[in-house]
Amino acid sequence: MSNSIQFLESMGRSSSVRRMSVAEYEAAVDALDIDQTEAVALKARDASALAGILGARPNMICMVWAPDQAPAKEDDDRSDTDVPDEEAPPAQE
Amino acid sequence: MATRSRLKKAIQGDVEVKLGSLACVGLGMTLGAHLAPRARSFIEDADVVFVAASDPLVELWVQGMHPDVRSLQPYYATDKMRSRTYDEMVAAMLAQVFAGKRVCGAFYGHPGVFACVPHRAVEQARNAGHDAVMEAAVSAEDCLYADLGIDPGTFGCQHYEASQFMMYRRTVDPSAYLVLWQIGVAGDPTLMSRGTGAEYREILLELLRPLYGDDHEVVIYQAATLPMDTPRADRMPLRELLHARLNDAATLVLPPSRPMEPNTAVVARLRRLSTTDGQASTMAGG
Repeated sequence: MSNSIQFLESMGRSSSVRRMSVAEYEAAVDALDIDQTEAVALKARDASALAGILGARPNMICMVWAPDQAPAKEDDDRSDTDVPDEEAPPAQE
Repeated sequence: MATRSRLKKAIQGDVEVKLGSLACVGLGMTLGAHLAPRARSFIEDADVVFVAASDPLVELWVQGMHPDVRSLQPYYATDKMRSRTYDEMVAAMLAQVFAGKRVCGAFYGHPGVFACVPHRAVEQARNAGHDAVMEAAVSAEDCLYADLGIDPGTFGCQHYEASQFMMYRRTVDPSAYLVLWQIGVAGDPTLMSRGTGAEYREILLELLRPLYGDDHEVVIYQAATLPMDTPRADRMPLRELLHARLNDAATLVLPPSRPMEPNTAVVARLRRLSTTDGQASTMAGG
């Protein structure tokens, strides 16, 4: 794990980050053993730049859910029902 | 029974065949802030880790926890239905489980909230007789309550995925909160879009206007994924949703537009009951 990522992890774990002044934050970044470009990105809080420097993928998709694709069709006799066809309870015999 | 049968098959003679297992854990929403100790342990102790993160830096963070972390991002592709993507994600994880590996699926937020891949993977692994578990975690919904100061108990809270909300007839209670997830792709029938535009949102507004009105203040919310970020909480009249900047992590929050309506008939019945109970206990106490 890179030092910059470890730094972000420690920020995430810390309750004191929100009380940190800009000067304190920059001093914390300066204390890291990282490249100057990473330090600049961290000080600017530029996540895209940091991701690029560290070789992360440029784009992420964060959706792992999709709605059922086949709600009732317009010409379906039961198109006014609230229950999609495939989830409708079986008819009683 | 299926598990027992599978375990039985796994022991052949004196040679015990290693059975694969699956743990789906949540990373929480903010890097470093939400990952629970047991979830981290599942990641570190696995043979192979699959990750679906919300941010490139979060993915790097997880990759730093284990030598074999495989991103699920390559399964997304332009002109490919997300439903197919999700099938392939489940299959990739289960292939390793069936190969006898201890597999961990690490998903942003909570692995079971608006996340069909972990649910399906856990179910299919169990059906095949493997040990499979889902670990609860901090979801975007949890962050929303904290960041926006909303208690779902105050007025009640309804949650829908935005496209599903549009495509199915739902009965909305405007005296409770309404939260629409994946608002950035609202109304996409193809499951291929990275973002739907004003024409789609206009249809959504047609559904919402009668209940809320164009001037009703709504909130576009997005949890912070990095500790140096702040959550997004853009307040605007409903009508401005049409041209609002939305991405796949944005959520629409509609506060109640009407007061809760007391059910006086039920309240009267409950009062009569409590009065009767009170009289009975007084008599019993003598």
